Amino acid sequence: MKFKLIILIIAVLSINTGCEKKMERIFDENPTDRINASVSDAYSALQANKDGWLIKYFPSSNREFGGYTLFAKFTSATDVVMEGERNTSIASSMFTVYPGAGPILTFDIYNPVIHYYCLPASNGYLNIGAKESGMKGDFEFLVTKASSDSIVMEGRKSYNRIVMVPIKSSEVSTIVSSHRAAVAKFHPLGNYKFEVGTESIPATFATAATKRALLIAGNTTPYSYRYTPTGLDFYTEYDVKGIKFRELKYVEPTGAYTKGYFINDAGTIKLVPQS
Amino acid sequence: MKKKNILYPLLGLILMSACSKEDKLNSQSVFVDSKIPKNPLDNYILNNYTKPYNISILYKFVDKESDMAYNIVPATYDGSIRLTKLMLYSVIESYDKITGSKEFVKNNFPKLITYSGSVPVNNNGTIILGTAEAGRKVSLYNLLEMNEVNGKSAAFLNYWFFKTIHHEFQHILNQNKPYPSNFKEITGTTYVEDEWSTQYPASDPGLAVSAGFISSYASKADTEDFAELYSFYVTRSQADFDAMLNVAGSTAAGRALILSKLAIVKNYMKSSWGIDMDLLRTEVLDRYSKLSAFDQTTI
Repeated sequence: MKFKLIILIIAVLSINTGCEKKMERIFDENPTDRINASVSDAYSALQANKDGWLIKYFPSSNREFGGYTLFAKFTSATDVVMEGERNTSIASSMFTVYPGAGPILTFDIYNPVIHYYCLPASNGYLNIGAKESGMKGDFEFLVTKASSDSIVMEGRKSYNRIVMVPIKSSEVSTIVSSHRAAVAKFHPLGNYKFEVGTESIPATFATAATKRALLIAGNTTPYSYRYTPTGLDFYTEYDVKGIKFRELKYVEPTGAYTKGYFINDAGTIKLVPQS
Repeated sequence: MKKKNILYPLLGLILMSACSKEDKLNSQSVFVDSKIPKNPLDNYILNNYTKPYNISILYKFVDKESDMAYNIVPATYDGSIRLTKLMLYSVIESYDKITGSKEFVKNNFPKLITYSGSVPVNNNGTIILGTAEAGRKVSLYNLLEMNEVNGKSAAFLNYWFFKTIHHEFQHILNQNKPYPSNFKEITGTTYVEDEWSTQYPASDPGLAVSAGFISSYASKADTEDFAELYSFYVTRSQADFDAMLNVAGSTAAGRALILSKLAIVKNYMKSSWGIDMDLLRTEVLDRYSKLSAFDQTTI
């Protein structure tokens, strides 16, 4: 009988422990409320800037095709107007923000400005990249930060960091044309070499068809960039011979630099086009 | 013994009290309806597909309904409107007319149709025209080319969309009511499963016909053969169907095999579903003949 009483006491104690319900909540709201709120915040942030956003767009996880500047104006809860540097067309389509691992921005109706980078290469679509995957661009993005000064996203296939910055009303009339002018000016340049001190390091294009990512000997990671009115804006901070750089500004032709050159603010590295 | 009699009810009471919960269920659902406003195409689909036929159309890209193995881009809004209207007119309403009501489509048609702008491209450059899953979902591609001109072309619409829809629809029909077993006995030992594209390349259609298959894909399995015969027959004129049978490289023996299988398909559709395939074809072709005047965009 004593044994049975011990069993009974242990059973009661176990049950009381097993049924303990008072878990400390990390967040006050339930997960659905929180994800819905983050989706709502993303919608609000996208539409908040009436002059639209500049998108620093880099397709493909290896970024061998380089970067592109796109422009998007989210005119309602469903509609978006986009422009790019590739041509002068303005295209309207739709977007949605839906809950996933966080708020996910999807351009879910075709827009040639962004979906151009997502088409396969063959079947008459593109002649860049592998037949089945083309430039491997994203059109769905996990929004990791949405505020008035920037929207930071992650491509759902490439995991590339895609940043949108608001267009100011003072620059709205010129920003697209100035980026197109930059492409027209810088894109013809080629046959690059880096100059660090007295050293000269030849750089080749990772993809000749796009000319927006450089490779140097001994490094398989392309230095991927997009054209800006001041020069080259790289995907991230890169390093050549110990010199780190994120942005290189263009200097007009001078002396032996007949095609001009790109240089960092510290003046410690130059990227020199030979042709 | 008395102590034991007290012990167990006591234990039961403790158990019940230990697990009693004070929390009440929240009256507010965690599922929140979308606040995204509906556009004219959403309303058109709701009123012309979902309400009468219980069919959904996903014209916007939805990742979980897409094949992530391929790089596919969304459909255009304009192309989605055109295809949605054309499919209703050319396919669904043809069945309504022949069967005399919307019930046949409502009860049997694929319940989910998805649109994509581009075509899935394999790494060898081959492409996929359309896909179907479990008899409930049909995925249609290439809506980037769904424009006014192509919307008037029965050949384009058949190739990219409608023939695929009839094909998949036939799978559902014969899954619900099996076709006679003698169908697969006609060319039963010669189906080649996944070797169909190499054994009977599309570049040499006569090879498939000479073996008794209306198309290279029909050589895959008797189920595909049945659906191919049905979908080619109801979407083509007799002259066009005869041209397929008499393509260069075909043989009389092969044509005879195809025609004997076609007779079973026609008999099955009539006896199992009350559908005369010749009347259905007449209706489909009549609608195709009016495509040039069809309003593809007003919704």
